Amino acid sequence: MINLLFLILVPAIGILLLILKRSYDKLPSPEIIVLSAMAVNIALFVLGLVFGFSSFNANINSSISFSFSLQENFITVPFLLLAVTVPVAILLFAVKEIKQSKSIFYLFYLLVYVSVISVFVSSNLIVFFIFWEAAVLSLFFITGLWGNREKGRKAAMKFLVFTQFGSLTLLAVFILLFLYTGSFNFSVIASRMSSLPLYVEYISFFLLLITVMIKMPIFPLHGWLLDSYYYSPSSGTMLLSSMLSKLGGFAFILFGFGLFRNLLLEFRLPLISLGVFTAIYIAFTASGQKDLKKLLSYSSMFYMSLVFIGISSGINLAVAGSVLLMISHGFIIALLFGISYILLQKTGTNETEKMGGLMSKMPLLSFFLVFGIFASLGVPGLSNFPGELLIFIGSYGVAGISLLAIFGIMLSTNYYLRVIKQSLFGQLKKAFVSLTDLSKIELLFMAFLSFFILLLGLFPSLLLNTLGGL
Amino acid sequence: MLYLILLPLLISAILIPLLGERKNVSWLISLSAAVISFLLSVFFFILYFNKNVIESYTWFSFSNLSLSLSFIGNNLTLFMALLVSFISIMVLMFAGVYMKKERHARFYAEMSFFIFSMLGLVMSNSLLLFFIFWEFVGITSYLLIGFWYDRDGPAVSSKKALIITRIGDLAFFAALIVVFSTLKTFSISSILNSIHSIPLTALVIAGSLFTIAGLSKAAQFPFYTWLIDAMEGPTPVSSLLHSATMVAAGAYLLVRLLPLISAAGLLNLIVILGFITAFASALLGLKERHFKKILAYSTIESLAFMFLAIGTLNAGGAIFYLFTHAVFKSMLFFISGGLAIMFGTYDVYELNKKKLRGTWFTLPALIGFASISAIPPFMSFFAHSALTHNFNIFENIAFVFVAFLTALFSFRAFFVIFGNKTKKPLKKEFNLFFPIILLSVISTVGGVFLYFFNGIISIAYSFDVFSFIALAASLLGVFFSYELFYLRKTQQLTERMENLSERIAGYGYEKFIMAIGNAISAFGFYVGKFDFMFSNAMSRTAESTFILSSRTREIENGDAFRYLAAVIIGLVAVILFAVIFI
Repeated sequence: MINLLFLILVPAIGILLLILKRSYDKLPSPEIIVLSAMAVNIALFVLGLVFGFSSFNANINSSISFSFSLQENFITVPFLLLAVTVPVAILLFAVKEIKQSKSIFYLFYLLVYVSVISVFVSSNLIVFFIFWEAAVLSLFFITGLWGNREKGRKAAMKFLVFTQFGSLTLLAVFILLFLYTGSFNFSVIASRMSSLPLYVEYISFFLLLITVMIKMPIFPLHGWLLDSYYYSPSSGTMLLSSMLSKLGGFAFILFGFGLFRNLLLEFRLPLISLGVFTAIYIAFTASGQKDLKKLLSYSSMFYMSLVFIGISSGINLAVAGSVLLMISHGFIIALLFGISYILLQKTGTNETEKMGGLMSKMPLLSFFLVFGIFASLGVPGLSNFPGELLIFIGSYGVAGISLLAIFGIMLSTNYYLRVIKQSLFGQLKKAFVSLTDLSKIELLFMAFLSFFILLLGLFPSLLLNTLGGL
Repeated sequence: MLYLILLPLLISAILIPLLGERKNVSWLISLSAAVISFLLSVFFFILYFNKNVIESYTWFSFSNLSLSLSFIGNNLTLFMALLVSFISIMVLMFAGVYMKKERHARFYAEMSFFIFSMLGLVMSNSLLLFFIFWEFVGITSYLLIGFWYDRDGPAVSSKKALIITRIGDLAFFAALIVVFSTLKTFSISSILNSIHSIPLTALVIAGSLFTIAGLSKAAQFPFYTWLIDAMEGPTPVSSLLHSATMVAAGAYLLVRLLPLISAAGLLNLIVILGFITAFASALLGLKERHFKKILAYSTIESLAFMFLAIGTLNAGGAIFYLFTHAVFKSMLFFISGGLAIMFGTYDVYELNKKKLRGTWFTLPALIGFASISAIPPFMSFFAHSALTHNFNIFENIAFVFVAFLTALFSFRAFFVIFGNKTKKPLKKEFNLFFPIILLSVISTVGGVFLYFFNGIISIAYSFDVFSFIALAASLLGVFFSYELFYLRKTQQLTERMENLSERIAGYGYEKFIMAIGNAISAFGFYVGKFDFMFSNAMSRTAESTFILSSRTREIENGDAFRYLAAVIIGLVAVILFAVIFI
């Protein structure tokens, strides 16, 4: 049995080493510390999958049952897989991109890493909230300090204002829950939900909804998305899109589906409609983008709106599909943002119109781009397909309107194919004659992500079997 | 054990990229994989003859709902597997000639995967598996059409092909979901058994969506435009796409789901669309100069014939015509490709100058074009008699006109290309010569198959008055086209006809499609702008509250302080809130 605490302790030790590094120069470079911490964590995770995870409990103050407790809940394992593996691939881009005040950057990097893992495993709401905040704050600093020189700070502020508002509503939910159930422990709360007066339940549900809609994000609370995604350093963007947005979905499933299921079922029609509207709206928005990074940011939101549809339906099947889609999307979007960063580095532009014919010079990169795009489009055999299938099967059963979101997939086919056509196909532009293909190490990281995309696409049961309690 | 038929090609698709670029190795691997698949199909055809074997595998299951993938082995599916693998062998042989100078690995890997998907598609019993292979076929065809990615033509047309067929794919996906949520099963056989328990609205929705899927894959009106542009791809690809695979998949889907489609009451619509497609493609084909594009129009028309048969509940006629068409159309594509290798052009008027009559291509080409026009004694005459068996009087009359136009436009190509006599013989390459001759022999004597075809799918045929009227119309068409394009008698009439065709093309259906695409992009652009403004407005509001708070608290000047302030304000608000309400 692997104690879940280890998954947090290992990166915490990494953080400690990074702090010590400032005074002791003999320690290895920050990248190596981060990488080894994450490698140990992967090993621990794999061992945990084999031997099972055990929960951890430390009582701090027994009078209000404020305990530091970590526990597997019904959707933890798939999210842990995402949180443990993807940052390894993102590290490569951090190494390529971040040149100044490295040790502080990696401090924040590990902080995001450890907070996301902790959110996924914590069963105490206070612990949950602390790490939720830590993740937001670290990303705020990453965006603000290492992002775009002119716009980075402003984007970071915007990000903070929005997500902070979401955090506060979440905190309000937690406080309300505590007041009526007398506990911060998730399982205790779940067993005492009946003691909540109806109006409190309504209020908490809507507050939670605000949190989720900001975090995922869902129209109309997505205002922060573009700026923060666009002006972050690309490693920050990848963290935002593949990890942080999943926190919103995670909280929605855990609390919305886990605790407030009655209300979720009551409101599922308007919620699904909102999800469908967001999907189509954002697919149109993405169609109008010429800039690859912007396009990917919007498309990432598109998939999160499909997740929103799935969870809102409140059907086990669709919720399981949403989990699959979130995990799969985490891998895919990291791959695509990674490629867009490499393209930016090599061609000096983010606009697909200015590229052209790159396939003749960069067959490997083209392969991974096409692979990632096909995976996004839900080609069977790659990881998005099972998730989308389950979401639509589940949600169509309760609301026929969800089928309209398929139109959004059609639009995404359109803009993704435009990306392929403009950047990869056609004649090679003269400016790009001396381009080189992916280096070995880049190839390795891309293959790492693609491996998971293929694996989860072919054997979705690997993840589904861990969703036992759903 | 039916998956054994698929296995060789899957292995070949994986093995070829691993081996990399080596001379002829990729070609040999994929060809031998196709041959093994063909032999296995023969084996299973004999083994499962007159049986109905369903082999089911669970892909994944979730809370008492299992998504199963199943193959079915019966006469029809295994016959289709035979046909697909046979045509594939022929195409791969031809590709050995045509693709000699290209890079091999990518091409043959994709071809193998394409054939693998098509073989899987014809044998699927579960709609989910059918859809999976259906998507594979679409995606691989995109990659194959865009094989020459560095040329501008294929870059555009591959995108167009995938976007249009993807409409059908997603319609299929939606239909899949509708059917599954009403019946809780993917198995085609059990769906067809329980059609009457589906509520009418779901039935109509699902039926229409499946029809859209079939129409878009088979390049029928209003989706036909992608097929013409798909000619930018290498000729072996066109030949495979047009004969037994891609477009045939659309017709095959509707044949498999025929009871569902007819219960949804869509048959008349299919017939009407079939006639529109047939007329439009024959007229558009009249002005075309590009050999492959003429063949493409004829493919669209032949598919329309299959849809006519489907629309008159004549599954047997549709499948037999699919078989016939696969044989002669792939052969015609080999001829076009062979001529292009030797003379470097697809333009029929350019080919006219090369003096081709009397070369060994002439007879097979004549057989091919006569097959398009359904002239006896070739196989397609018999196919037409089965095809038109269920037609009513109006359909028969309309079909007579179609037959005339078909003969006119297809023989135009023949008379133009082979208009001048030559003396010197062309060299014969085995890989080119053998498939053409074999396929033309089958096209000639294949009519006998009609009398044995009842074992495969129930088929009825009759040589009634109308089949001879249609034949007369075809012969008239041939005669006209001989007068107009071979003897070039009345130039005026020819010009007028080409003008008519030009006008139909100029009517701007293509432009309409493009306009829709552009409108979507433009709309997207404005939505994007709106979104930008919207999110800016949101953040302005947020900022203004911040400015307010910073005015009230002079001390803060750093980001961290602001954050702390936000937390504190929030906390206070929440506590106040809690205090007031409790």
